[in-house]
Amino acid sequence: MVELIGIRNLSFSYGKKEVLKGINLSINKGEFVGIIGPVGSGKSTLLLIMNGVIPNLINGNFDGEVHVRGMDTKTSKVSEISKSVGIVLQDPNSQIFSLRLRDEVAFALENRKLPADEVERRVNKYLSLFGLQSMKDEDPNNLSEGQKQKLAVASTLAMEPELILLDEPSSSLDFGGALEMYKLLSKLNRKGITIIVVEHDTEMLVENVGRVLLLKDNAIELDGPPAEVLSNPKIVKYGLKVPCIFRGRKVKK
Amino acid sequence: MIAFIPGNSSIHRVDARVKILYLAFLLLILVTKGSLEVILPFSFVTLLLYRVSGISLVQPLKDLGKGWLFIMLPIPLHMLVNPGAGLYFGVVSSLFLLNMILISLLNIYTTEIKSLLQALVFFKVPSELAFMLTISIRFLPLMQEQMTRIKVSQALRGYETKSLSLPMPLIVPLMHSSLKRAMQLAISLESRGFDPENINVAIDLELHKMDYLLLILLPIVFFALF
Repeated sequence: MVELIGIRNLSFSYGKKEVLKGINLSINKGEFVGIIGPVGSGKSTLLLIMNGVIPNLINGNFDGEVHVRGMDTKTSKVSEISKSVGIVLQDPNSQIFSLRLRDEVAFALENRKLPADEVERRVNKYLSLFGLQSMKDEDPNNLSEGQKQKLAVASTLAMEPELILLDEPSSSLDFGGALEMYKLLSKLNRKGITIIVVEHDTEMLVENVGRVLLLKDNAIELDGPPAEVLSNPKIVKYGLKVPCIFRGRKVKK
Repeated sequence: MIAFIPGNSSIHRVDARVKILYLAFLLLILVTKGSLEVILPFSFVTLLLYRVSGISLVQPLKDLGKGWLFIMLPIPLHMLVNPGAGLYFGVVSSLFLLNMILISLLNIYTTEIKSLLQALVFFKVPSELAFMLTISIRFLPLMQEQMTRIKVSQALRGYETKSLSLPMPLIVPLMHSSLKRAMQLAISLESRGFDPENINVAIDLELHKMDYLLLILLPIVFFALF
């Protein structure tokens, strides 16, 4: 097993406000991991730590070690880490800045100085994947929230990173759109891409991920296969939804 | 919204670098020759440019909103300070501001942001600054939308803007959302390999017949006027 992310004794706080404490985590190449937890448990912060945004761009008290593909995130630039790690943030409106869909997808590829024909190939490929190809010259501002979410994911996937981090990718999508998104993510995972997703909709995790982390009070409380974590009674106690498939089991307990 | 308005007018087709040169030239005329004799024909040129571009004058009227009050402000101010010739100087100052804003907006309405960025970098504006400027222009419409949403939500809770007090219930949420958006954008850009210390902007602008003609014309007009 090749370790892609190694986190040792990590603690992070904004001033006196503790966000994460005593985190030890190892994520191997090819895993599909779901992170769940109540609001304010540090899920999104953990994602930002995994691609070096913390501590490089966001200041706070950072203790411990985080290695991504062997790179220490404290000493590596985010742009360097981004060659292997792509991230999709929760609000697509905050990340889309180009005037045309194609430019948004091409942005990361041009930063990497890929040849123009390769940029064009990937732009077409990833816009088609989300049914946005016919709108490639349009202004992203005219898209629906769901389409903007798809565009944000497409622009990250186009980077073809080894590891993709997604913060609630289904939040702007309807049920069908969310299923479609997870189907695509599963397909990418089967091709060997490591995926870590923060998700509040536990239904989406049941069939797609191989491992679930439950964060509570700024620490990892449960870590295991979805059947084990998502059927745990603590899920309800923390205000999270037990997926339908496990509800019968909960009643028996 | 203060943003590029797609079109195919001759002004839309002019190279972004030529447009910036002309914008600088027109602003220079305004600043150095700020008399009514110059500003009146200048205003005619501004109107003509809008006509050629196919952009309605209603557009800047909508975009500036209450900013029009700021443009008109010199008139009462001059009249207060100088009761005799105050009206004359007030009108000159207001027309000066109006023309400056209208032609600057026309440049934004008729130039794609990408071309604007390339043109700024071509003129050796530091790439970081050029990038910041173009991103600001890109986010202006979103800020305007956000402002409308905030206004509606505060009005629904009974808030009314009072003329002589700072509209804090509007300013605070707008500042908060703008700063949050800026932070998120910075994270997203750097996560996609953007290195602010090493911005490379490929310039693929191309000059056409019309651009060459305008470039030849520019020094002739310049020497005729100065």
